[in-house]
Amino acid sequence: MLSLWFSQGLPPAPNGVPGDLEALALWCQQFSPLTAADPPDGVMIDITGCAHLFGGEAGLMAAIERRLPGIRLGLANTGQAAWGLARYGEAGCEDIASLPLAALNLSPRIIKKLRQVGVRRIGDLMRLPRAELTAGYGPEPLQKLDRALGQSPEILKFISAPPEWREAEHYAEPIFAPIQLQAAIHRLTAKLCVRLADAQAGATAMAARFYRIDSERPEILLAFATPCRDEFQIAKLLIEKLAGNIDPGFGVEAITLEACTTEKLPPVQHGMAPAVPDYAQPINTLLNRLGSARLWRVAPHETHIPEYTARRIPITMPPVPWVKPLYPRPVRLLPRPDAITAIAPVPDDPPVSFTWRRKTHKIAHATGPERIARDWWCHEHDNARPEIEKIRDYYAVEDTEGTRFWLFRAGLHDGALPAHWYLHGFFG
Amino acid sequence: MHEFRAPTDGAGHIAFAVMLLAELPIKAPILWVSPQPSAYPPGLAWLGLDPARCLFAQVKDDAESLGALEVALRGGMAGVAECTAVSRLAARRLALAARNGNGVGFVLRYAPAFTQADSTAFATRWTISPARSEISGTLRLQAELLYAKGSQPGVFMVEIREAEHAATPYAVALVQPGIAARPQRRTG
Repeated sequence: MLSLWFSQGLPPAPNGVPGDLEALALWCQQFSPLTAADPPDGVMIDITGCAHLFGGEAGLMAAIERRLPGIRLGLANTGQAAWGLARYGEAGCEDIASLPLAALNLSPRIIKKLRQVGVRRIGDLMRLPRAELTAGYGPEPLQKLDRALGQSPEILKFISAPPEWREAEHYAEPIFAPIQLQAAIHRLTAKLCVRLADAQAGATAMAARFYRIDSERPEILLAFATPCRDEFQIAKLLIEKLAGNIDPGFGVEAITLEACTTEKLPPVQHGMAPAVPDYAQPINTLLNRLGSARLWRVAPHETHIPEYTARRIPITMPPVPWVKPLYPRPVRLLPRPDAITAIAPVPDDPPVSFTWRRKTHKIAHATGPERIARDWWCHEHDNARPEIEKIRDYYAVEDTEGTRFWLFRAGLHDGALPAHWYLHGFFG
Repeated sequence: MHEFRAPTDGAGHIAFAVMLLAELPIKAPILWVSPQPSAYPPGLAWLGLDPARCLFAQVKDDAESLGALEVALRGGMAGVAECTAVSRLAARRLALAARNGNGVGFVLRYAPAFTQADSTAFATRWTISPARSEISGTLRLQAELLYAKGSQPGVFMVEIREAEHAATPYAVALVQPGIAARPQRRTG
């Protein structure tokens, strides 16, 4: 535990408000997620597990001193001891026995009484019999001493950053009618969108949470392909999911709407320039209806293996331009090549006929072969099967009915393993 | 809204739809809905359609497929949906969405040329079947217009050739239908 004492008064907080201890405690969360305001002029930071990020405890303390000049720091195992060390200890001192009694934050009346019997330092207090100390001076000295020594728990109010983009409604009577929930969503979205518009921001992810009276908390999550602050669009998306996802049960007593992530969205002037077509609305609707796993763009991938030439990218990413392939490619590709039995003259001729799904196709025309080798630089070399065994020879063939197929032969006809034929796609 | 059917396994109707999409004057993003991801982006690029314009969606069933297409059309996007059946109600809704949103939608399905649920809501209905090509290296499709609003049905032959240079990898040529493929007058 690290205690910060602003011995020369509170510095101006990062947002410019002098003397705002809460803001300072929030600012200190750059050092550790657990910080607490310590009124009137201190901050407590739990640095357990965080010091190594700044090069150890000494590095962390140096970093804080560099940012807040004039600060007094106290480092100890407990918050109470750190408090005392920051205010009464010398730099580098970790022993509280030599500190004066005031370092325990005792009330002045008790300190005065203890001084009258010659107890001036915490070490003196530790030597006194516990039962008689309580009988003579009340529970406070022992309580504080135990806290400082880590023998009794201490309670610190760690703070968390308040959500920036959240609107909430609380109800005296729980609501459960769909029309009430829909009206609440309309009100919350309108409020949030006005705030977003003022800040020139748009939400890219939103969450609406419904706090039920039986302490269940169903929620609706929304995602947007582009930043959005259109209240009608957001409300429509929420209401579309309301019926299926939200069971109000015995009633909802509070609803919150939060923009989880936001991005800059400058305001648009309407009616000046010719309108640029905006497809954000249908894309957002589809994204929320299908989910990001079932809606994607494709980007080219640097490989010759046909099934890997396109990779999926999320639709929130900008489209990647494609170049036309050098050789014809089928419009429909099977997810996995389908094994076929083919009759073909050796060594390199296209098949004369092949059987796929128990139907025999006689071949009228064929073009090829187009030889596609494996990405050998990506694979371990295998002595038993050299790379030449792993090539594919692709043929575009047309059967007597006119259907054009994309077939390939895997391996060579006189290789270590017999060659196999596969159907991989359809041109038409 | 247009519907393209293929009688058997194959991809003639996909190739036909891709060529039409590539030639469309509007450059709206295209939603490609299918139960299995089957459209092959390099194949689309080969036929002149930039896959960067496409958004691909995978759906569970026909209802979801047509619903997604309706959302896209209403928003002004172009859309392609692969599905197994289109009811009259669904066709009506899709046509309305396409008209309201000024979108272009294609429905691709493996179906015979005539079914019980055929409706006249779509602007055109085609069946695309493979046809034997004369020379090697070309793809010939027989596109039979089954129904068109305000015009006569007919049979067209489309030929996709491998061109010599890479700038235009394909060339479409309309071929006169042969005797075997005589236009059949059918009312839709």
